[in-house]
Order: sequence, then C-alpha cells, then structure tokens
Amino acid sequence: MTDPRPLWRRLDPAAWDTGLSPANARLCWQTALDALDAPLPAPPAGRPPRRVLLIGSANVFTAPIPWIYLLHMLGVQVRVKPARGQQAVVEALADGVEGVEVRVWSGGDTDAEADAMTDVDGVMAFGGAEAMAAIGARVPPGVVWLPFGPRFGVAITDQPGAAVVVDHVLYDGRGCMSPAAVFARAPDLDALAQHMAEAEARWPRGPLHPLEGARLRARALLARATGAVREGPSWAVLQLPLRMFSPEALPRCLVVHPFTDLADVAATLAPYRDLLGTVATDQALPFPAPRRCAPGEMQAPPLGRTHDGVDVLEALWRTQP
Amino acid sequence: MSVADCIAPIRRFIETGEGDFWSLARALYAAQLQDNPVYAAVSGGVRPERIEAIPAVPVSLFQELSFTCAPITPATVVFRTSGTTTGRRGVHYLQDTALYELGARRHFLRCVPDAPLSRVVSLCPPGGGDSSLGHMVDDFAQAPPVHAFDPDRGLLPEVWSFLQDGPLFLATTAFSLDALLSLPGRADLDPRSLVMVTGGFKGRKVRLDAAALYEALPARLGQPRVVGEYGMTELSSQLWTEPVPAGVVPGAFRAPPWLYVYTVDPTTGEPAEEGLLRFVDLCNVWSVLAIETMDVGRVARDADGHQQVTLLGRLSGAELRGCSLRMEELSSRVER
Repeated sequence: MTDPRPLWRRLDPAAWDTGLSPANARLCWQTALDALDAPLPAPPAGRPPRRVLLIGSANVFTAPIPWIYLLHMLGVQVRVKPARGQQAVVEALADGVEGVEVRVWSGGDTDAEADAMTDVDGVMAFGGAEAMAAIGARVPPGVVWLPFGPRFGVAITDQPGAAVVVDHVLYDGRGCMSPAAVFARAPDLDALAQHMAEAEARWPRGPLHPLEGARLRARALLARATGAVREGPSWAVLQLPLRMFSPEALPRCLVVHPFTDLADVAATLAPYRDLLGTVATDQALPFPAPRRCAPGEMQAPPLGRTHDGVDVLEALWRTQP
Repeated sequence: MSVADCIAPIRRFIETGEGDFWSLARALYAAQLQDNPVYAAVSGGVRPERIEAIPAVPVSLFQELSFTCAPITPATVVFRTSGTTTGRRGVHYLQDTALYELGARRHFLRCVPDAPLSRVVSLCPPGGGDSSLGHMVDDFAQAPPVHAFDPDRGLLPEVWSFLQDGPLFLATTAFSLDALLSLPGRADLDPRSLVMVTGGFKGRKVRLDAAALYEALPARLGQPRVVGEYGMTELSSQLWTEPVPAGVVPGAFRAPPWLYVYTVDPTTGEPAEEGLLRFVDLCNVWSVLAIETMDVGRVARDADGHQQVTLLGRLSGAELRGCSLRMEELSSRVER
C-alpha cells in the first residue's frame, strides 16, 4: 500500500479555489496532513469493504483527506465525489494514489449517482441535512449508509486565548469543527482582538459571501446594543449575552458569551445538543459531546475510527460476511 | 422633541404633502434616539447628514431586541412575523396604528383608486391578532370582511363559494393563492374585482413558480385585475404595483412619498445600484424609521418622480451549505 502523504505534502493548496486566502489554505492543509501522522487505528475484525463512496461537502476542502487516507491504508478502494468547487483538490489527492478514484457529477444527476453507488459496500456523505436525506433515500439496499449532516462546535473555557483564535481562523470559521461561539468565564476582549489582528496579518481572511456579510453586520449591531464589540478591517470579536447564542459561525467573527455557571451554558446549548459536534474545553462539562478536545485542537481531530461519535470502520466492516 | 411630537407633521406630509422628507426623517430619527434606548445603542448615536446615513436596523434584530419608543403596555399593538429561520419571531410594537392606517389607505387608494373595498374576501390571517397583513386588509374593508383562511386549519373548504357574484377585493398571499388553486373549483370573478397578491414565492420547503401562478388565474378566477403588494411586519408602509389583467405578472412596486427606498451592498452596507433593500419609513414612528431587509432589488424613479422597486428575490446562501450549521438548516428543523 503506497503511503500518499509524501505526495500530498508536495501539493500547494493555494493553487485551488478553496475560498480561503493562500496563507490560510496552506495552514489548513498542513493541519490536516499533520493529523495523519498518528498511528493508524486498528480495523475491526473481519473483511474490509471492497469499495466505499465518499461524497464531500462544501466549505472544508480538506474534509476527505482523513477518510481517503485511512480507508486507502486499510486496503479499501475509495471512490470520491468532490463537493461543489472542490474537483481540483480531490483530483490532486487521487493523482498517483492507486485505488482512489474521482467521480464527478452535479447534484441531482441521479443516474450518475446511481452508477457511482452500484459497486460500493458503503457510502459516507457529508453536507447539508436536505442533501443527506435526498441521497440517503437513493442508497441501494445492502449498502451501508453513513450520513454526516451539519454540525457546529463551541469552545468552553475560563479565558480564551490565541489557541481558540486559531481554531476559528482555520477555514475562516466555515467548518463544522469551527467554534461558532466561545463561552468564557473571564474573557479579555482586548487580548482576543490582538490575537485576531495577528491572525489576520498571518492568515488573511478570504472573500465573504454576501449573506455572510449581511449577517456579520447584523450580529455586530446586536453586540453593540447588548454587549461589546472589538473590530478590525476584516475581523470582529463580539461579546453577547448567553441568550443571544447562535450556532451559526461567521467568518472571522469570534463570538464570546461570558458565563459564571456551566449549567447556564448547558441550558443555552440544550436546544441544539443533537447538532453539537466538537467542544474545545478545559472544564468538566455537565453534558456529553461527540468530541471533546483542548482549545487549539478543534480542527485537528486525531486519526481514528469515529466521526461525530459514529464508529465508521465498525459500520463498514460489519457488512462483510 | 419626542416621537409623539413628530406625528402631526408626518400626518400633514402624508395628507397634504406639506414639509420635506429629509427634515421629517431627521427629526424623527433624533426623537427615536431619545425615546428608544435600544435604537440609540444600535445606531451608536450617529448624526446623519443624508438619508442613507440614518442607521438601518436589520430585520433579524427585531427577533432579538425590543425596538420601542414607549413602554410596552397591554394597549400596545404587537405585530409579529410568521415563522423565521430560527423559530424566533420578529416583533414590531406600535403605540397606536392611526398613522399606519392613514399611510396604508392613502397609498393603496392612490395606486388603485377604484378598488372594490365594499366586499373583501381575505385569504390572509385575520386582523385583530398579531398579523400586520391581516390588520391592513381588515382596515381596508368597508364592510366586515370574509375570512376564508384560518391560521390553524388553512383555507376553509367552502372558500370558492365566497368568490361568486359582484366585484370584490380578494386579498391573498402567494402561498394561499397557490393553495386556493390546488382546491377543486373555479369562480368567474366580476372584471371589476381586484386580486391582491403579497408575500414571497419561496417558502422554507417549496418555491412557487410565480409566472405559472399568475398565468393560471384566468382559467380559475376569470378576468379580475391583479395587484402586487410588498410589505413586512417591521415596516408600516407598503408598496404596490400597477394593477394588471389576470394572467399577467405584476411589475415593479411603487413606494409612497413618505417611504424612501435604497439598496446597499450586502457585505459593506454601502449604497449600491443593486442590493439589499433598505427602507426609511416615516410611518415607523414607534420603533425605528430605517430598516434593512434581506430582499434584493433595484430602485428607479418613474416619470412622476415616484420610486419604483424591482424585487429580485431573497439574499440566498444556498452555495454556503456544507458541513457547518447554517440558519437555513435550523429552519428545516423548525418545520419538522
């Protein structure tokens, strides 16, 4: 089995349209590849699946990397359908890696999708809830279906610092592991603003979508009325009361909710608990989370068998007689 | 000068055209800063030198904050938006609705002077509740309106029977109209009848084909005239299209003289030729006079100097959907 990491290390993600600045794209790429340096997890007993179809999601251009790598290294053929705008990335990942194949079709082309699903043992898909429901309805009987819908992350800590800022800056906050909000006992807004300004200088923000721009301006006004605002040319640190928590992360907009009692944080997150993915914390949480990590590690999940709390390898291997 | 002091000159402006928009807007803004602490906080106390510099409140903030220039009491009229992407509803507080009603009636009757208001059939939520649309329609009616829509049950099964005989004003949202046409039946409306269609064509689950909906009208409703209305809970004034024959899609929306419309770049908030619609509404006396919508459009002036708004749709973020959570994903949860 050829280890693709040396090939991938030579690629420059700044050559692709990632929606990020070149410096941020390189940081994301390096972070994703560094996570592959951990030992491979042991596969379950039994025979591995012959081929798995990965359907990527927009926003995080490195998202297929750990699963392509892991499945490939465990001897599984991988067929990848790139997300919109990410064909070049996936083609570069597959180039020269035996057993990794790219299939491109537009959303809604059910014939092409059915063809891609004909000879696979499992389908792993990432993306919006509507897309997951639509694809799931078309997965053939007997094929393992592993949908991973949208998620959000948060950080919960006494005093957030540079590590949380880097978590937020990666992918410009558009990833499911990005902190949509930071719950902090003693936030120092000026220090966070300084970290955001430094991050902007090193890894500038990419272009904003108009909807993001409109929502950013609205949220800044909300913070002006109810909390506090620190702003730079293309970043903001907004302090808002807990009741104004939103699970939607916005690019380079670090939302900080001060708290005194973790029970209040738990109550704030309760309506969205099933959508919570990653929690970066140094606290003893009074509620479960699919993935916990230290601040600064949100975007670098360790290479493992699980995603969003689901043991992917167990699900795929169990299908084999 | 308090907000209450602004009402009489605005009323005169609506009734007689006396005064000028900028002076009235500037005075109302200053009064709202004084009487509305939340707006004062949002605006940062800016002193505008032109209309476009009056701080505009994004409509999403009406879900989070209470914009009111007077204490909320049991007598306060409360209009609420229908479901939103977050499940929270925007709230517009009015201490009285006199100016709202004056402006609404004046502009509507300028746009459609011969509207048959002696007989109104409404497929909108009834007035008297928290629907500003229902309030407006009921206020237009010169006799008790027939309500053929129940907020809990939808259209009444006998709705077609209400549409027979004589000229009438049929007030409907696009979605209620679609629901009506999906029911068996037809009515040959008197040609003097007027069908008002309001509301967007894109719901949280379904996008209606506007052209197909309008084109279907002659076969099911005969040959009434059709007029488009643009309004929203957070706005006290409305815009109307020219009436058109059934089967034709209504055109641009005309703003009344007491409402100024302009467009901004969604990202920067700076004026742009095409972009998010912002309204400066002199009838929004009890809340905030300037709001920013999530609707995209263009503004032009007609030969008479009236502003005409071409609506291009909602600002969409469909291409942003991916593995991270977007407010639009939450809306589908709320629906389920």
